[in-house]
Amino acid sequence: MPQSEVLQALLADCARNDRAAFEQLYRLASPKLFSLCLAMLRRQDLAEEVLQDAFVQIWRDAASYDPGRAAPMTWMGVIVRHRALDLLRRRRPEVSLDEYEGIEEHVDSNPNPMEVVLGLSDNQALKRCLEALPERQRESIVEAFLRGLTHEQLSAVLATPLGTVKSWIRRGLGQLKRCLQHGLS
Amino acid sequence: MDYRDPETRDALAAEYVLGTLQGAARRRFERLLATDRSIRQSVEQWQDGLYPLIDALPDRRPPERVWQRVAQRIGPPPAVAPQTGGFWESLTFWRSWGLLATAAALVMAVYLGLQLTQRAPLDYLAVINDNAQRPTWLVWVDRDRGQLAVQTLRPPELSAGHSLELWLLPGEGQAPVSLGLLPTSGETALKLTSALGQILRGADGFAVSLEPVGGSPTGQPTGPVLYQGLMFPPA
Repeated sequence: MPQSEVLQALLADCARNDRAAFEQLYRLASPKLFSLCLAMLRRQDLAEEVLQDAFVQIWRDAASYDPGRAAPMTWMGVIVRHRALDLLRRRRPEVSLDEYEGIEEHVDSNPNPMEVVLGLSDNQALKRCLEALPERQRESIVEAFLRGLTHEQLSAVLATPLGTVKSWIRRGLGQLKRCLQHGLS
Repeated sequence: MDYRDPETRDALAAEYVLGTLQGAARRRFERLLATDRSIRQSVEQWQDGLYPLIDALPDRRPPERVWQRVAQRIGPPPAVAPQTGGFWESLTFWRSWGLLATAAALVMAVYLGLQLTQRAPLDYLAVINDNAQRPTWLVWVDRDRGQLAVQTLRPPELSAGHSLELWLLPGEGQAPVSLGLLPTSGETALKLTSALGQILRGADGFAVSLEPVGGSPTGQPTGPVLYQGLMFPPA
């Protein structure tokens, strides 16, 4: 994962119209961000489209990035994820649940929630706090975030009633918040 | 749902960031976001908390065409191209070189004792100099063989574990294109494909960087620029 300081410096250069810095930013950040697009959109062509649009926006908005308010990967991640969610929401009526059952076919490797959490670096509070959650709550939150699934889709994928899924997420987020805040104090 | 209750608002912010806030509820929340600073702060805190999950995804390199499209869409750089940072800052010829006329290239070639009868002066593309302005390589187009040729004029210093990589600078702020590794003596040739010919047409010049053995592992210069050469202007 590229260092925050490096990305911050590159974003500052992008704000000054430095194209070489922008390409360097793209090279460093696109592997994770493209991976996010693939996880959410499950199609190579859509993932490429969203990544492209996102980076054009990142270039245009670089001057508005404030390092005091968010980490660079968070700022860029929000841009990417909002576009991906937007696309998912626009396409949703056409897409049947069958497409989600066929998830494995679209993307060659599908990180499962436990693997994802294990993949976080040890000194991250998020890892500790996610591991502390009951498995189903953790699973719902990770799947919702990394795949952009709705409550209804989670309910289908996890074969669980809608109300139960909603409460897993609500409780999971509540516990996560307490854990993360506790870690900061 | 009591929107005035801070706990409710924070729970909504969390679901908004997660992406599970849908439809009318989401639109209502987005309107609140536009006017309510404390809700924006909640959202930012949740983003700080959750977005590091991206860290754990496997790296997936996008195909090169995505970058090419991004680069096309952000448009050409401004007329005065102030490139900054590392590789670009070391290209001093932006600031200190004047342009060499083709006639001057001829004089240079004579000075260097090259056999002019074999090559028309118009085929000379550039002289690549070291940082003390000493000519080190000469680049020209060999039309007969459809090659880009590079001849060593003075032996460059090269320590073990390193190689010297030649880069074409396409201009307009585009990334340098590798033309391969340079010899420390004699001549080397590069096949002149039509793709390369296209880029050559508008290119600014050449640069040579110090790389590990085998050349840059990244496809872009990683080491310092030790030699540079401005493209001769077309006749």
